[in-house]
Amino acid sequence: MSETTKNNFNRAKAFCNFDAVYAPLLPTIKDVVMKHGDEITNTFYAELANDEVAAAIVSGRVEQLKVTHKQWMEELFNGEYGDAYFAQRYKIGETHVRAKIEPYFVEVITSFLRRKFAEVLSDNPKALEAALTILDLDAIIIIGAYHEDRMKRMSEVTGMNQALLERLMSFG
Amino acid sequence: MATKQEKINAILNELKMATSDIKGAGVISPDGMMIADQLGGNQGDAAAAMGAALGSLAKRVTDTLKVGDFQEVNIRGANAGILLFDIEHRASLIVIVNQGANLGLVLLEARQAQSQLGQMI
Repeated sequence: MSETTKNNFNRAKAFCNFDAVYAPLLPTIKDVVMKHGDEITNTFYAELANDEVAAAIVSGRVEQLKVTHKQWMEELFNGEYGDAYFAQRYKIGETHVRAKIEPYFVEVITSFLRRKFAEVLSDNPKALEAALTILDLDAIIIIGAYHEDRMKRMSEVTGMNQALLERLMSFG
Repeated sequence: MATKQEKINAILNELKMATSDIKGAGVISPDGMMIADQLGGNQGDAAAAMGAALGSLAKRVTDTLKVGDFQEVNIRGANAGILLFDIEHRASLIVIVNQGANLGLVLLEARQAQSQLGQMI
């Protein structure tokens, strides 16, 4: 069910020539960024605690989520962004969907990380471009999982298949 | 030998000829595509999509309320009526009828067309 999102991911990569321009750069800045990994993750969860809804979602498992979050951040810089990367990131999106975490929080963390990456990579504009681009690509995948889940649920609740739903929206 | 398309069109044509109360008829796929269009006018694509949506929702409602398989929908507008008939869950027959149509005759003819189309599609 992830074909639309996968196409968007691949189109977005092609649009910015990601594989040639940014993918090779990302592993070279992994250490620089991950040197601040704990600080970034801790700050994010501290800020999240100020949001009543988010605090309730993460309550009782913050330490576990921090580990997952740091691992996710580290994987942004692994240098491989093909089908396996997509599948793994989409799975993360599906996990968010199942956990009923609002897509708003995905956007908030992306925004938060954009600011943090800008801080830690301020002396290397090209590296910053690469880091922001992979963040955007991840957001495309994870938000895509939400979109596809909504379409699937809409299909289930109305009985309309997805081709019909797309056709109806084309008349809007 | 007539093609399937020609046979479907022949059934629709016969249906339209059966009573002047029938303004138009069409056969649409569950994806909302027009299989055969004798509705008249230029709203075919939209009518196919809306008709398929109506059929899907009707099927969902009949399933949810456990009233048996969806068979037909009857909508009365101020100026005309719309009837939608399921064709073996593989397509739908949509029929536009005049205001104040003799629905007894229309339904008789349309159900016959529904049955014929069910054997063909």
